[in-house]
Amino acid sequence: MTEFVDSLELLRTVQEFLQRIAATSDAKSRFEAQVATYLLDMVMRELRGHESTGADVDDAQDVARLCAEIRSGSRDALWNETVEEVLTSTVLRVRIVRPDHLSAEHGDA
Amino acid sequence: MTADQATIENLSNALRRRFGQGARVENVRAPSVGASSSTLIFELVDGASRRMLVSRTETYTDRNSPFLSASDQFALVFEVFRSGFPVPEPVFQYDPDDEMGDGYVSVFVEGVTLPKTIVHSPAFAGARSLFAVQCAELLATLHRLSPSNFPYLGERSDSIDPIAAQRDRYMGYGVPRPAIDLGLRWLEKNHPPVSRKSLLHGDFRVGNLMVSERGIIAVLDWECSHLGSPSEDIGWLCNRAWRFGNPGMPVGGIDKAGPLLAAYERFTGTHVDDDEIRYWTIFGLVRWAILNVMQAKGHLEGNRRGLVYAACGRNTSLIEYDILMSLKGVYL
Repeated sequence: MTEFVDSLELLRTVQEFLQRIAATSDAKSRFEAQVATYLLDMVMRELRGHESTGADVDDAQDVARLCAEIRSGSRDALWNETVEEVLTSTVLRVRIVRPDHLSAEHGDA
Repeated sequence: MTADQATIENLSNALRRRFGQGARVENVRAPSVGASSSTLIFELVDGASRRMLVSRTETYTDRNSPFLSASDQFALVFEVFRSGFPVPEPVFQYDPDDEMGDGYVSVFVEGVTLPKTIVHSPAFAGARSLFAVQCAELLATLHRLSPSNFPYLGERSDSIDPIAAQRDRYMGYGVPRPAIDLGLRWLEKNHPPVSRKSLLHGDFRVGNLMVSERGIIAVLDWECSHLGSPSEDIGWLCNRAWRFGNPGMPVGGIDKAGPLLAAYERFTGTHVDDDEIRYWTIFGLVRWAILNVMQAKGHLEGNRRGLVYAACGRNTSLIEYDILMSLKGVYL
């Protein structure tokens, strides 16, 4: 057993604290503690993940260019390919945010 | 959670101005901060009488806000209540002297809005058995009201062109999201003809419906009302975002679409086309994704920081996934 308290352990400790204070709080604070725990779960998956490091999975300039092309209609002829391309990067984000949201075909991380 | 002392003092003064110096406020609580407003529930005590009331004040203001102003909301709820529709009775609107911000007070209706309870609690099984037909009846009733009674809605961008309204807001946020652009492009190219424009609730779904164990008792949260295709309200109700753990049950996670559409047709005499519902369901996903971008932007810019708003920033990708799966025809 290592004595090093890594980032995941720090986050787990904060989650445990949130659960403790939620148990003695009013309904609104309990809800907010749940949301905070949800956010920390996301960060923990991101720290563990290989596909994403927390920054967006796509280059910002490429994203802006792709959006402009979709808007102008110049991607219409490549509609299915574009949907698949965007879906691929979206699946990576969903795996971080809430993997159980994915359908079975994208479920394996 | 309780409200701060200054707010309670202002609220007390607002009530004294309208109900006399003997009026006072007790048992103030702040149940939630919604997407566009802040809510307080309190008791108005006047002599021996006690009334539970609700205060709603705007928290989101923007030139291109997707939300109705408080004064238009008050006028709308007043008119809808007058028609006999189940909506909490509006009591009075705040004015600048109240120092409460823009908002209004209505009567408190006792019931449950919590989706988890409504969709999953055994105690609500009876309410669930009626839910789809009740939704159809309420929407049919609402869609029959004359749009001319709501003149301020006609100028709203959502009433004029709902797709353009979404695109304008999305472009205004300056956050490029390819899935949203794909959704908007598809909506622009596949727009079904709108034969008539009706009054729409604009956010008719589990979470905005006050429900008892015997069924829906009131329809809340009218800040997204506008005029448009009745199918827009039906598509929004069937949005995947409001299925609460039951993705195979489009009507609020409670029922299939069939009973809803059959009942709506029975109440209105109007056939609702499946393709039209699919169109407006995808519209609902795009609109919901853009609303989440708005909340994340407010959080990042510091206007309205909060845990839920931060979560909206990341949750946008869940909605984008649903948009793309719908565009592929995997999700119907």
